[in-house]
Amino acid sequence: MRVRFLQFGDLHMDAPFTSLSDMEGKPSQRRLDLKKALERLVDLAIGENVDLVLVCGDLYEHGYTGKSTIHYICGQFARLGDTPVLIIPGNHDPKLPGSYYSEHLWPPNVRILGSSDVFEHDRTGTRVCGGPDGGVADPSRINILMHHGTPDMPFDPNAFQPISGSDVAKKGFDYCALGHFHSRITAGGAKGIFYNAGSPEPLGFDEPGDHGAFITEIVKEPGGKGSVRAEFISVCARRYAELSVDVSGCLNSGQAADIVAAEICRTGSTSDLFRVTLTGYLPPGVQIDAEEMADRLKDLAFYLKITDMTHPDYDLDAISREKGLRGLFTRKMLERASAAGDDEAALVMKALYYGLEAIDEGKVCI
Amino acid sequence: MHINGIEIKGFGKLKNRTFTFGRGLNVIYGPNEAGKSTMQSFITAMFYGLKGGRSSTAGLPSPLKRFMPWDGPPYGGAITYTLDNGDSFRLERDFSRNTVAVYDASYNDITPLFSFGRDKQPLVGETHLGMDEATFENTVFIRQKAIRLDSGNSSVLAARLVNMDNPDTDGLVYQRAETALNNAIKNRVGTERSRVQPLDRLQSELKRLEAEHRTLTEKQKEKEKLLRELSEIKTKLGRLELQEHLLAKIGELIETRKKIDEGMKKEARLIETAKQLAEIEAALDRLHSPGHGSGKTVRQPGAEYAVQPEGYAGEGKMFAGNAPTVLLILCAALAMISGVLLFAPGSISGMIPIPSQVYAAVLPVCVLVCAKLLKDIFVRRRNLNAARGPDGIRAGDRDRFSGVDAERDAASGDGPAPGPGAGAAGEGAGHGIMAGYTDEKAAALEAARRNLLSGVSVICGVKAGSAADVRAALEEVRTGLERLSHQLQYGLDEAAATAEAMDEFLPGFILQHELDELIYDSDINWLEERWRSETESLRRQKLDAALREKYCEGQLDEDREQADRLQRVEEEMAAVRRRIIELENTGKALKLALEVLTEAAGEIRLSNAPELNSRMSVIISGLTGGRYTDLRGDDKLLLKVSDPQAGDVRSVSVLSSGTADQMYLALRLATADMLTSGGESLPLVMDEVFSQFDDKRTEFALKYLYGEHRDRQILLFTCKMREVELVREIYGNEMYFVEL
Repeated sequence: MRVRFLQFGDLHMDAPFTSLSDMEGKPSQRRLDLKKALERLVDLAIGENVDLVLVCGDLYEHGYTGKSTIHYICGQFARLGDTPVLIIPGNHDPKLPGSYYSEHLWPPNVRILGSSDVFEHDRTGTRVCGGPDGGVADPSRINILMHHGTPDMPFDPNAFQPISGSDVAKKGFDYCALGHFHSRITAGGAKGIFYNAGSPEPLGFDEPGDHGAFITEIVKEPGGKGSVRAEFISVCARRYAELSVDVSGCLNSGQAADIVAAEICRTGSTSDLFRVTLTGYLPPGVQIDAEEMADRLKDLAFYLKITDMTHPDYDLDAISREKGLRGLFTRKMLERASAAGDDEAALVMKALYYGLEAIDEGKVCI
Repeated sequence: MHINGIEIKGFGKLKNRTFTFGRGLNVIYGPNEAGKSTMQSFITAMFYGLKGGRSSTAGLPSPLKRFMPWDGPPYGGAITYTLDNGDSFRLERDFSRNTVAVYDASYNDITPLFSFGRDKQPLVGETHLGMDEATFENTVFIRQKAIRLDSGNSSVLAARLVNMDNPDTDGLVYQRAETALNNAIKNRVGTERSRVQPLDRLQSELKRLEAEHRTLTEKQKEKEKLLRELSEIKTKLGRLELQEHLLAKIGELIETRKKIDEGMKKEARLIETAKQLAEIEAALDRLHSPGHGSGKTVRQPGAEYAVQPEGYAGEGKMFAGNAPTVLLILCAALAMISGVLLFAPGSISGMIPIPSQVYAAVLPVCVLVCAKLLKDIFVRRRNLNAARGPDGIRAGDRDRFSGVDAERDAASGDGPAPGPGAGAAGEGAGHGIMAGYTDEKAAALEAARRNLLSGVSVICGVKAGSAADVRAALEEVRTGLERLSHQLQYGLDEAAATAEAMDEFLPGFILQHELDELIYDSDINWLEERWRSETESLRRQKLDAALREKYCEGQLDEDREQADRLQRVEEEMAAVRRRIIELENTGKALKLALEVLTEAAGEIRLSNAPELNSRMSVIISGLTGGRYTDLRGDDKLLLKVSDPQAGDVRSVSVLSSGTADQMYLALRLATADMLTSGGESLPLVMDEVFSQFDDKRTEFALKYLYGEHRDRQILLFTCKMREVELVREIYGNEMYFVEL
């Protein structure tokens, strides 16, 4: 018996992109990216000639999605013809009374599986359970469990639908197609049974790197053990990256911008999203305008946010030894910084630099 | 540092004047309005420049305008001075052109070597004197009647003292830093009292967005509620459609039942008609047959008639229907005629050649026959009604409805056969009938027959010309009834299946009865009425549900803009919150910097206080000849002194004017000493400082200055010759005298 399928989840269509909200137009463009990602996923399924498509939850955002998006999704899935598309609800797209899963007319090849539902694909001898309540596996079939939840980890009381790899394996399943986490899991869990493709399109700066889907093939003799080969295919159009760039010694925003530009070009491409933190020490009196830099470099990326965390290059050690107000002020601030935690210390150092600037320049630039 | 000399080209009332000063005490003597104050202002202006701009709030013109020579340029001059390290400089200024030039001893122009202020002028005073103008004027530069320091000036000195150890020449670092931080907090972040600063605007924007988000979220919840309701309505509509389907089937069953009922009535009428036709035909047969009058009984009272088409046994026999009635009428007429002729006058009876005995014989016979006929007719009718039953349908016919075909039994000959002694009415009637039939009777029977056949046409809607047609019609009705029975049963099975699928959603009147019982046994009118009522109720429920469905769908019509707005609002809220956090952190950092800066300044002030107080005490002791020995200033440099006589501490402000002047002189001298400690020894410029001092105190003060500041240049301006003499007494040849 052999089955080949496309697995993905957590597309989160129509989600708000709050991390990009400081740039007009970017969040709506990202939502458009999600639609295109679905199109690419369907293209992939067609190109790979899969037997099934498994969508492991959070396909859309229940609170934000409208009919037009559902129509779009249906249109895409309908392109697959007779190839079954099996969808399980997630925490962002629950199957509530009146929800699109309950009321909308989906294409004939689409099935919305509940936790106790089972789908039998006779041509490949595959049995897909929509959740752990679908009973035990059938040894004469390839058994796949779909689940949207938290796999095998110290279960926090707030963990969403926790699931144990050992339990899944004990029930005789050959493969557990997971959703919920946006990072990839390959052969994870206690018995190496969990496969989570992650989000096909990254949704925030906490999701760096490549994103995509699994093309999985399971081969099994009746009564035997299934052999799994899951290949990750990247389908994302953009990548998120957080960069820390040391601009020590720069005398103006232009010089700093050049260094940042080089780093951006080395790391990614113009379709990617960057959050750059400037670090290092600048000569006293040198001011960097992070917004001006971002505006100047905006063509190098789809989204660029620059945060200035540089410090004036004061010899704090020498200053703290001075007599007079400047020295005493610096000593006091350094004492506070060393006694504070990380977050508080950063605030104290920021205050120190503001104070020194006020003492030295008679003004404070913010 | 000491001033070597000044060259006044034009400054106020002084023009083209040159003065040379010595290193020690210089007494500049001149009467009032000689230009003493103008000279002092010139010295300050040379080191620190003159400020232009608008007049002061008190209406005084700016210094630049105030000292402008009345007769025009030149407006400026030069000052030469030597620092403590021996370096000499010449400083030239042209106030009208706003130019400054500093030359060293070799007349090299060293002006570019100085730091420049915001007014783009070199900071000569700050650099060479080591203090800013405000500090200069609050310490070593003592104007006439301005010895005492107000709170503002005291603060300046206090701030300067805080920074006295700072290598920076600017003595107001703390004040400027404090002001810079406060301004940043107020203008770049915002305070609790501000309303339009960045943080205020952001928080106002956040509140607006949160309010909009609440509204959108409420609409979202309303939408979900409508979705749930719509789902319930669709379920209900499905249920109502099932009910409607069932009721439609029941309606069909009711129609079928009504057709059956109608058919049965037709059948009964046809059966009756057939029976009557058979009777008429039997009667006609008897009328026309040779055995007419034999009086053969053809049926028993209440016996069933065989009316099956193939088993009809009544054909050809006389049917004793209306014949007795006709005979009765004839006999009655005959009796009447006989009676009349018998009792009529001879003239009338004579007209008819029949003996009266004949009339006498015929009359009683006719009467007897009439009586007999009447009795027969009455008995026959009674028996006939008894055989039919209360609904007019014979018992056998009723049994057919329930599937028992008694007619078929009768037709096949299983029914009772007519026997001897059959019902007296029937036998008597047949005998009576046979006894008096005539052609008229036959015609009457024929008419009756025609009436029956036309009745059949009305019943069945087809033209019936004979009893055979009636039987054919009856057969057709029976066939129809059988078909309807099957149809009814089939319909019942279908309805039962539908009802079973509906579970508990059956219409109320069905719940109370089994479907079979309902259809077969209920009064059809009651059933139809309940059905109509239920159908109407269902129709209204469906209409209400459909309207509500339309309403919900209309409310749920996708407003894409609103759906997008919720996302955008959340995105905007996130961005605003981030900016608020950033600004709040900036505010916290600024406030922390200000707090620690103020704390540091306070500590420095406190650390300087003992030295300052000690110096002031020494100085005041000298100035007062030991009268006061303990003078102190608080952190704002407000002075208090220990009164040796009273033994208490008093504020200087309660002392006499002259004593207070002495106290502030002590403060100025002490701060000047501290601020220039390690730096340039600045000349003291004193304008009529002893005006409030008595002679003794003036002497004490001069002696103090001679003792403690002998090597310091002092420019003492006075209009009193007495002071000049006193100075000469104390300083002797060490004094320099300049006369204006």
